[in-house]
Amino acid sequence: MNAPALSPAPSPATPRAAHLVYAFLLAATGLTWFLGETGAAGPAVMAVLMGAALLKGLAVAGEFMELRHAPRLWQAVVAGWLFFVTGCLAAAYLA
Amino acid sequence: MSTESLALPATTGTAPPERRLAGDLAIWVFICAELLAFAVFFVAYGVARARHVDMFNTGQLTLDRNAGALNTVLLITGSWFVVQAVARLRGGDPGGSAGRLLLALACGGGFLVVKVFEYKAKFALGISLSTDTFYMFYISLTFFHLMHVLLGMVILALLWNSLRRGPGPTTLSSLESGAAYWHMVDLVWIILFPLVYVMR
Repeated sequence: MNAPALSPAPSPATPRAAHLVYAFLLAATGLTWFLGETGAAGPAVMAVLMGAALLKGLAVAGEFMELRHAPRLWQAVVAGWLFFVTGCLAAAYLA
Repeated sequence: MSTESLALPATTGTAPPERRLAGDLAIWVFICAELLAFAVFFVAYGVARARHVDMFNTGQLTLDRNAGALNTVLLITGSWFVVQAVARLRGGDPGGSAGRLLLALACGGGFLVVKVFEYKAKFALGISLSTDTFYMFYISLTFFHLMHVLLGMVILALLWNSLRRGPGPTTLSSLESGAAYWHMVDLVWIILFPLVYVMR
């Protein structure tokens, strides 16, 4: 065994961005829950809910799934899925 | 055992780091198939809701939003621990990585417990798949997702066992693949919670 090669660069820390994304996800979940508890309804509330879900999804895909560093094609596939689903749900709501 | 593969590829000079997909290509193809299945489910829900707005709004009021929000927090927190598990293994700390996986598993277990109580309360009221279209979607969609949480937990448990026994040359890639699957389960719930529990 080659000792120097067995010493990886000491980088055990989770990227700071992941912690920020986690805080954002919790805050956005709190907002969603709050809107539900207040009984808020209507197109504007729907837009906020789907917008929050879209942003949460993009944050999870980009930072947690590490698609931020992935080939563009894979970024487009997952982001496209999020835009497609939230867009269809918004359209169905408004129909 | 070699731990060379645990190190991140070194970057030289000022060249930008090469773009790479975390995990195996196969798991990403699988993830795409799963996302496609859930997209069909979500769009079908949206179309059915548009045809039966009152039924869906009435049914939705009977759901436990606190349980739904708690499960969202549990999944998000589980994903956060999985991110830490990957970072720790990359940093050459398989023990710390295994510990984070255990915490993620605990979050998954919490999700299951909350879901069991939620289903139990609904079934006690005589609600079933055949009650109406809303409950058909609520039960089938959330149960389909629950099966994915279960599969994700099995994957995390296998990865934890692998780390506990000592990481090998493919452990990091396996962990990245399992992490991508777990985050996909989280991603789906992020749409499901506002759609089924809140939006009216």
